[in-house]
Amino acid sequence: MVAEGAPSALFASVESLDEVIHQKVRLGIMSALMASQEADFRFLKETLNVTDGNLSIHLTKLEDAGYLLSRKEFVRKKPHTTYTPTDAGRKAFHEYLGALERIVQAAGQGA
Amino acid sequence: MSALISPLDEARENLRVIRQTMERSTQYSTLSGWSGVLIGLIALAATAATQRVVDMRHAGGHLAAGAMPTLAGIWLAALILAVSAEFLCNKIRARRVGKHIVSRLGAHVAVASLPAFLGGAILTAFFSMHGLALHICGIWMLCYGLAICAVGLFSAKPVTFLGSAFVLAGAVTLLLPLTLQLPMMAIAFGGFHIIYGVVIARRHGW
Repeated sequence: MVAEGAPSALFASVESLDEVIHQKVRLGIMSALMASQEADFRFLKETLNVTDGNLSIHLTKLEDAGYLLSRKEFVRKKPHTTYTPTDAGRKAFHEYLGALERIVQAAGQGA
Repeated sequence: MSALISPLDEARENLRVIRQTMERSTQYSTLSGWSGVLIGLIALAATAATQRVVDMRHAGGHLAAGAMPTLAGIWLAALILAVSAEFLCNKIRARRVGKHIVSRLGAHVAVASLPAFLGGAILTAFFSMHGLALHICGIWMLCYGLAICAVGLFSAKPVTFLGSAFVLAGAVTLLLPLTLQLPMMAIAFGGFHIIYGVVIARRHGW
């Protein structure tokens, strides 16, 4: 990802990026959940403009990583799933943000 | 230095994605076109009721004795009906777009609009006490406009436009003769809301 000779701070920051969150759709999911604290499947789909299948896959990955919790219920006999970020998910998101900021700083110093 | 561009650009792009997604997620987007139209119709009905029971043509600039409670009663009932219509329409809309109307953001919206409504209530009492009740229409428009502008900070642009239109209409109404107060109420509370409802419906659906 980073060429030889790149400053070590930048390299370390890039290496510290959480691969689970780093993927664009998963990053979008976590951002939406961090902002609204709770969102259902339809809201996430409309906000991120992704397909049902694509969103499902990424939600499952985030859930498997322990970054979000899903609550399934039936509303008018239809399945309704609501997602909330876990403490681990919040911590991972803040650390990811910190890593991004460090990349920007390190690259700025190296330029 | 070109080796640094890739991770830097990616970091900036990801920060942009985060910012945009968070903005979209915190926007109070349970707006319903129907609520605007319904509120407009309620306001037109309140204007018609006011026209029937309150003589607004008083040359001295004072309402007949006992007219102020009637005027306030009609418009308080209209406000309660309008808030109920707004709540119900937005609740239906929220369910459709996968949001909750009763949320932390919803609470922020309510708290943001409260000072302007409170100011309107205090000014209504003050104007009534000093026999200036006929001038209250412009004040109501101003305070309502400020409340809507506050809601607009959390919502879509048409909401801010609606609030600004009310503030402008309120300022204009205060300068107009007393005989034009009620028509202005119909134009602002009735017409503006109906136009807003149609605009919202076209952009976000009914």
